[in-house]
Amino acid sequence: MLLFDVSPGMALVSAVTVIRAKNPVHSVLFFIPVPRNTSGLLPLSGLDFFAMIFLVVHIGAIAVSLSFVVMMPDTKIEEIHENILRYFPVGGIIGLIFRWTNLETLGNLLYTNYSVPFLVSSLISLVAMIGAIVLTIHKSTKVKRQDVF
Amino acid sequence: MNDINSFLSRLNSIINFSTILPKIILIVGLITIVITDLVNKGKNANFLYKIFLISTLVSMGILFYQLISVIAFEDLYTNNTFNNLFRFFILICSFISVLLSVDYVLCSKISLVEFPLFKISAGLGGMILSCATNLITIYVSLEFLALSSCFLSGYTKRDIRSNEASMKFLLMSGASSSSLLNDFSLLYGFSDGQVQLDNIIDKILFSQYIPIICISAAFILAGTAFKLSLFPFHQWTPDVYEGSPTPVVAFFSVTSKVAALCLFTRLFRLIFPYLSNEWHIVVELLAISSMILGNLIVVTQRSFKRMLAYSSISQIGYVMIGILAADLENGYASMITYRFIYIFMNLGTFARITPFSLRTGSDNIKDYAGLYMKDPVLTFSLVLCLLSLGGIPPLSGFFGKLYLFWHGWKAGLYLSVTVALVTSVISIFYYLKIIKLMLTKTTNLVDTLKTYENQKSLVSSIISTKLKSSVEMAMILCALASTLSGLFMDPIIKITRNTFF
Repeated sequence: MLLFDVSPGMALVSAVTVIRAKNPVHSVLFFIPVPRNTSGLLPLSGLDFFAMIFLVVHIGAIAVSLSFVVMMPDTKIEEIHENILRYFPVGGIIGLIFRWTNLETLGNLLYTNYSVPFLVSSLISLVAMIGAIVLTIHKSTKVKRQDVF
Repeated sequence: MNDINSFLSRLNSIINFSTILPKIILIVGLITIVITDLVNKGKNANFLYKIFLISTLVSMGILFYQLISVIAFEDLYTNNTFNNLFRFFILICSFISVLLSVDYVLCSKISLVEFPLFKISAGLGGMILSCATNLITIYVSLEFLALSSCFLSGYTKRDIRSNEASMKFLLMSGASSSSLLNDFSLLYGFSDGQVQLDNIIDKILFSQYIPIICISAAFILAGTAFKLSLFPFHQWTPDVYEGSPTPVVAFFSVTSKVAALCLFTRLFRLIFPYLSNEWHIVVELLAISSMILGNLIVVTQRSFKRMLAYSSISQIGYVMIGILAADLENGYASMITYRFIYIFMNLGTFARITPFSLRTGSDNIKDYAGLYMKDPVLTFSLVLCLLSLGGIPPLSGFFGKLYLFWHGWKAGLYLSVTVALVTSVISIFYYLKIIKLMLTKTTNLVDTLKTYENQKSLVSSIISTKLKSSVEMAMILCALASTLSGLFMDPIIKITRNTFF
C-alpha cells in the first residue's frame, strides 16, 4: 500500500523538478525517478510485463542517452523538456489499452488485430533512424572512414 | 504447418490484402530505395527517383482500378469512395511534387538519396491516415506523416531558417499529437474499451454525459486544427513555409492538409453527429477568422512563400464551409472537388517559383518585376495559376469556389459565404498586384533579374526529353489541370458525390 501511496507523488515531484532545474544534469538525475515510480504502479493494475519493459526502455535506454546528450555539448539544452511531457499521455494510453492482457495475449492481439499499426510503427522506427542520420551527419575530410563493402 | 495456415487464414479474414495493395507497393518502393542506395554506394541517384515515380504510378493505377469497382469491408480499413479519393489525391501530390523537386535537390547539393525516401514515407503515412477507422491506426499514421514531414522540412541543414522551420514543425506536431491522444483516451475510456470508430459511436450515442463529449470534441478540434492551420492554430505556417526548401513546402502544403482534412471530416462526422449544432458554430467561427486573417495579412507580405502560406490558411477557411455544408444528396462533393483543384493550383504555383528561386536565389516578390521580358513561359503559367487561386473564370478555381459557396448558401451558412466572398475579393487584389508586377515592362530591372539565365534544364534531370526538364513537365501538367478541370467539372462532381458515410 505504501508503494501505491508514495509513487505518484514522487513521480509528479520529479517530473516538475526535471522541468524547473537550472542545471541540465539535475534534470537528467530527476528524470530517473519518473519512470521508476510509474512502473511501480503498473504491476498493481496487473501489467507485469509492462512494468519490466518500462524500466528497461525508459531508464536503461532513454535516461542513458539523455545523460550522453547533456554531457557532450556545453550549452544549455532546452529541448529535452517537451519530450518528457509527451510520455504521460502515451503511458496512459498504453496502460489503458492492454489492461487485461499479459504477454501471450498481447502477442496474439498485436500480430493479428493490430498488425497494421504494428507494421507502421516499425516503418516509423526505420524512417526515424535514417532521418536522424541525415540531419546530423557531417562529412569532414579529416575523418578516416572504413569502406565496408 | 497447421499453425501457419491457421494464422494466415485468420490474418486474411481481418485484413484483405487487395485493399492495402497500393500501400504495400509503396512500402516495397521504400525498401528498394534504401537497399539500392546501399548497394550502389551513392552513384546512380537518378535510378532512385525512377523507382519512386514508378511505384507511385503503379499504386495510382491500382487505386484507380479499385475506385471503379467499389468493394466494402469492415475492419481496420474500409474501402469506400471517400477513402479511395483521398488516397488518390495524396498519390497525385507526391508524384507531382517529386517531379518539381529534382532540380532543386541536385542544385543545392543536399543529400540526394533520402529525399524520395522521406517523400514516400510521408505519402504512406497520409494514405494510411485516409482510410484508418481505428484509433490506434489513426494515431500511428499521423505520427508517421508528422515525423517524415519534420525531416523533410529540416532537410537543408546548413540553412538556419530550415532548422527553425523543422523545430517549429516538431513542436506543432507534438502539440497536435498530444491533444489528439488525450482525446482518444477520453473516447476510449468513455465507450467502455472500444477502439474501432464505429463501435465507439454505438456506445456513446445514447449516453447522458454530454459535457465530456463536448470536451473530447474540443480536443479533437484542437489537434486537427493544428495540422490544418485553422485560425488560432495557424501561427506555425508562415515560418515553416518560409524556412523549408521550396519543393518540400509544395509537398506538405498539399499532402498533410489533405490527410488532415480527411481525418477531421471522418472524426467529426462519425463521432459527433448529434452534436452538430455545437461544433458547427465553432467551426464556422474558426473558418471565418481564418479567411479574414489569411486574406488581410497576405496583403503586407514581401516574400512569396509567406504569401502562399497565408493564402493557404484562407483556403482552408473556404474548405471548412464545404465541410459544414455537407448533406445527404451531395455528400462532401464540394469540399473534395475544391481540394482536387486546389492541389493543382498550389503545386503549379510552387512549380514556378522553384526554378525562379534556383535561378535568381531570391524569394522577394519585388524581384519578380518585369519577368515577362526574360521568361514568358514561366510568367504565363504563373499568371494562370495565380488567377486560378484567386478564382477568376474560366479557370478551375472559379468553378471550385462557385460550387463550394453555392452549397454553403443552400445549407444556410449566409454569414460564412458573405465573408468568404468579401475576402476572396481582397485576395484577388493581391494576386493581381503580383501579376501586374510581372507583366509590366520596366526599364531598370532589379539586379537579380539582369543576370537571369533562361536555362531549359539546369542539370540532367530524370524525365528529360530533349526539350523539357521534369520541372517543366510538372508546370505544364498543373497548368493544364488548373485550366481544364473547370471546364470538365461534371464528371469530377459525379465521382465525388457518393461520399457521405
